Amino acid sequence: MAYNYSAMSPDFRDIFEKQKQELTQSLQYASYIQKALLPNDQVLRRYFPEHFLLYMPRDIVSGDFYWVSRKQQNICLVVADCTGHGVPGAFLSILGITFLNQIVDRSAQLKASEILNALREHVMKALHQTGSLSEQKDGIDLSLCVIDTEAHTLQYAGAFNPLYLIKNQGEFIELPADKMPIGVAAEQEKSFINHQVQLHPGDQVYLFTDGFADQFGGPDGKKFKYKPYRELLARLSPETMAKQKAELRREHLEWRGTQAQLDDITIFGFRYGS
Amino acid sequence: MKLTAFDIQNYRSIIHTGWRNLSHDNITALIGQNESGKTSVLGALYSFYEGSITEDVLRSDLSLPAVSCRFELQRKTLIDFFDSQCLDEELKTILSGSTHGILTRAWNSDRSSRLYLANEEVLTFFERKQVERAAIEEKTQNEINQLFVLAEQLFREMEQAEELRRMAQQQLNLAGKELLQARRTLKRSKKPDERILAEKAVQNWEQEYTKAEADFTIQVDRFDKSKQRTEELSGRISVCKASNEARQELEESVKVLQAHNQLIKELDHLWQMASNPKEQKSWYQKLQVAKSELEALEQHQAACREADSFQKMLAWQVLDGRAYSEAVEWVTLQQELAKKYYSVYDLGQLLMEYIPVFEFFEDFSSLLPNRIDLEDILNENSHTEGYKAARNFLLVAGLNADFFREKNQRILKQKIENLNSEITINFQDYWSQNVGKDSKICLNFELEHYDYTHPEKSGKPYIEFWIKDKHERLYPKQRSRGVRWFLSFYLELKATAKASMVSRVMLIDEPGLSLHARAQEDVLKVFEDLKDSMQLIYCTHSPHLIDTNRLYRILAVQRAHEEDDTSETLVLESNALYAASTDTLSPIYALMGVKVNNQDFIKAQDNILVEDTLSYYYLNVFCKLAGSNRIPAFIPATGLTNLPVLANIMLGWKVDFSILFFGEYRSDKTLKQLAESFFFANEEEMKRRVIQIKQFEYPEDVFSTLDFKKFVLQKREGITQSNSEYVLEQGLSRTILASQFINFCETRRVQLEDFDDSTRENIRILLTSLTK
Repeated sequence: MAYNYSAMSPDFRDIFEKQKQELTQSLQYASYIQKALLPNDQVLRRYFPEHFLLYMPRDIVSGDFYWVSRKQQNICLVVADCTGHGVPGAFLSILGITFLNQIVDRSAQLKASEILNALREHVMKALHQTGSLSEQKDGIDLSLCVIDTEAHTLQYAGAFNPLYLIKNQGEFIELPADKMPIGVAAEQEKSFINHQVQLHPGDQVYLFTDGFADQFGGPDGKKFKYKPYRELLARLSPETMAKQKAELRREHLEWRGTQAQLDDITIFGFRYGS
Repeated sequence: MKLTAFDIQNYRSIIHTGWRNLSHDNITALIGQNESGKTSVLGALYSFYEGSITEDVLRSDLSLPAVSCRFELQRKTLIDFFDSQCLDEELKTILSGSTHGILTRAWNSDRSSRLYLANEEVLTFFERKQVERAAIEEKTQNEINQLFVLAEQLFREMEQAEELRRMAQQQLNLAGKELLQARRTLKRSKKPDERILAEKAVQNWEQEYTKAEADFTIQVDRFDKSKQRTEELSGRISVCKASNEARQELEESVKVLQAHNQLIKELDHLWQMASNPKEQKSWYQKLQVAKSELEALEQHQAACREADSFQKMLAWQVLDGRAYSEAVEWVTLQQELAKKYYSVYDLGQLLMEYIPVFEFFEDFSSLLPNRIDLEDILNENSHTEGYKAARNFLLVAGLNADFFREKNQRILKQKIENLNSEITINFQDYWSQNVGKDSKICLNFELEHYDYTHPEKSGKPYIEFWIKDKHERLYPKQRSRGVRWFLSFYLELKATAKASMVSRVMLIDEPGLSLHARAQEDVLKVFEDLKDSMQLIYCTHSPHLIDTNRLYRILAVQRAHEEDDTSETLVLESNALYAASTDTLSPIYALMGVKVNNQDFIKAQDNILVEDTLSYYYLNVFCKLAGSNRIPAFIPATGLTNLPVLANIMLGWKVDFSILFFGEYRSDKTLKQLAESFFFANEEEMKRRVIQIKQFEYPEDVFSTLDFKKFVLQKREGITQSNSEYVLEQGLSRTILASQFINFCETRRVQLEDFDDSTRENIRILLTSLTK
């Protein structure tokens, strides 16, 4: 039922305002907790000396999250988008972070596809998903890469979200994601595909969620889409990381114009070996 | 619909089996010693289907039998079996989500029984409804009682008000009279002093009259109000009275019926105890009269129960403030709906119509005759000797009456000749014994006509049967009982499978008891052939009726205390065979011995002892999938602790072997035992014979989680621990999972390439370890 705020009695309006304020404070506090769970800039800088992070939650708390962990010479990086945004997404993101910590901690060898397989099992178990038609199809779309700093390789596995690699010489490579989520899908679970590429100094890697490309805006109120997004990244790639971030934000705000932000946005980019 | 499990309570020596699963591939063997209770299990299942039990089924403690059967609905849900218009909305949701149905038949002390749908959620639904209804009835009864107290109080108040009104009326009348009198006196008084007195008297009585009049008005008003309140209640009271009357009538009818049942029991006792035929007849007649009256009394009780329910609901509605006519309308509608809706018993009865037909296979009273008149077959004269076997023979051959109506004798003879060879070929597929050196037996039938030597039947056709071998042609009766038994058994099962499209559960008690060991193995072949068209459950203590490769088909039946024939019967599933006694498992042990002699199970070299049958199954499949050139003979023990015993036996048989252990720590104790008492600390010998695969705790861990879910578990849910830990945590039957996996591999022709990288790598690691 919709209420006409201006038609409310002053007393009722006071109660309404008070409740809203309490709710906002509570969400604000939740967002501090969520931020505390995400790796801070110092950690990111240690693993990726040259990087940028564009993290724009749509609401106070976000369904997007990013996560990083180091095990011996391997650095594992995840950028993820949980079903929904706001509070439900944030809950799932906390589950995702917890499970990733557990899985990587227990794995003797880090294989990107195996981590995703295990993460899917954890999510299915936690959400009691059995593939029945009636159940909620909550899940996580993500891209995960494992960088071996000694062998200079990058392993990648993805659930719906691809990874872009722009080589030092300007070649643009897309590592495609599997078309299945971290969670239950209509079809029986299959193993995620493990991609592996060699990294060279100066190569740039981008992990992201779909918020940027799916944003409505522009002169016709259409989606930004992936092709212009790829072109934008390619165009910005010679720039410094700080400039890339600023340009991406500016481009987004310009595209969005007066439209509301549709979804959480996360883009993580880094330049290897610098 | 397929029978998947049973649960038997209080049936002969059985107190409670708990749920016991049948083999998924339709052949289940009940093994156990004599008097262990195997036949009771079959009897209980048949009683479940038939509904009747005999006196000897009841246990001495008078606990009443109940048998539950679980049926898999095979791609349907329960709701598909019922008219949804006759189902409550909530029940519809419950039934839509149920992919299996449980039917329970529970017997009463008079040996009658009631069948009901016993799925847990369904029972909870009906119990809740009953509790809700009982709560309403109790509340209504309390309100009725309170109303009666109130009514009595009001009635007393009204009586009191009436009395006061009557008194006020009298007072008013008196004052009126006195006033009239005083006025007359005043009229008559002439003298001044008399007039003064008279005027005073008039004034007085006028005052009195006014007062009495006021009082009367008050009392009239009070009475009217009291009357009005009583009248207001009268409608509700009459409804409550009717409810109480209905309840009393119901209580009375229950008492009458109880007394009548007691009378029947006593008459039955007197009839059975009667010392002479005259007395017996007299008691019997009285018993029959009493029984004939029983139905009317039961109907009366049912009617009383319905009336009581109606009146109670009516009272509930009226007391709740609904107008009487409206309440009657509402309750009538509810009663109609209740009648329309299925009860838990209706659901049971309706589902029963869809379950497979259960047939109890007793020893064959009807062996194949030498000859039988065609007329007896066509007229279904079942009392004729060998009728059943002959009829089965014709049914299997696909013959009916029209076949014999062929006028042209030459064509008829040719048709018979063709059929004879076809039936023989089929029969020889199952009967592998040779008669003599190399001669297999053949079945023949011929159509002949009686001649003048049988004047009463002269010219009438009869069918003659022959069992031939290479050298001679003999009538069935000239053959051994074993051959005739097997033939009749073969015909009966084939005919049953062919006769109807209805699925069947065949309950077979000790098949092939009089057969040679080889022929008993042939019985198993017939079972294998028929398992797609019917479910077979049989009792045996013959090792030749057990397939060692399919031990999951076994249910072990034994007494709780081995030495005590009166102790309760226990039924153990194949995954709990370790708990069965040695005597119970003797057919399996005997079978393993037999197979050793055959050299079919154990090789001279390249034998690997494994922990249990599950390791045996998985390893064989892995070897086949990997296309190994050299598949070792895996020999299963019955648990880790029995491996040293098996190793000793192998040593005794002088066959070469290795011992395979899965896991790192759980085998420690057995390894230590082997080192001490088998290898006598000869480390080199131990190293040569022991293979320990530390990566996998159990064979199930060879699969990746995804492949375990896809090929073994065949279920989609998150598994975050190792496969074996998951199985243990969920309490799943490893045996059923293993057989599911084997079935899946066989039916879907699974190849190594169908597994993911991780599983393939694990299989490679496993097989490499075995090769080393």
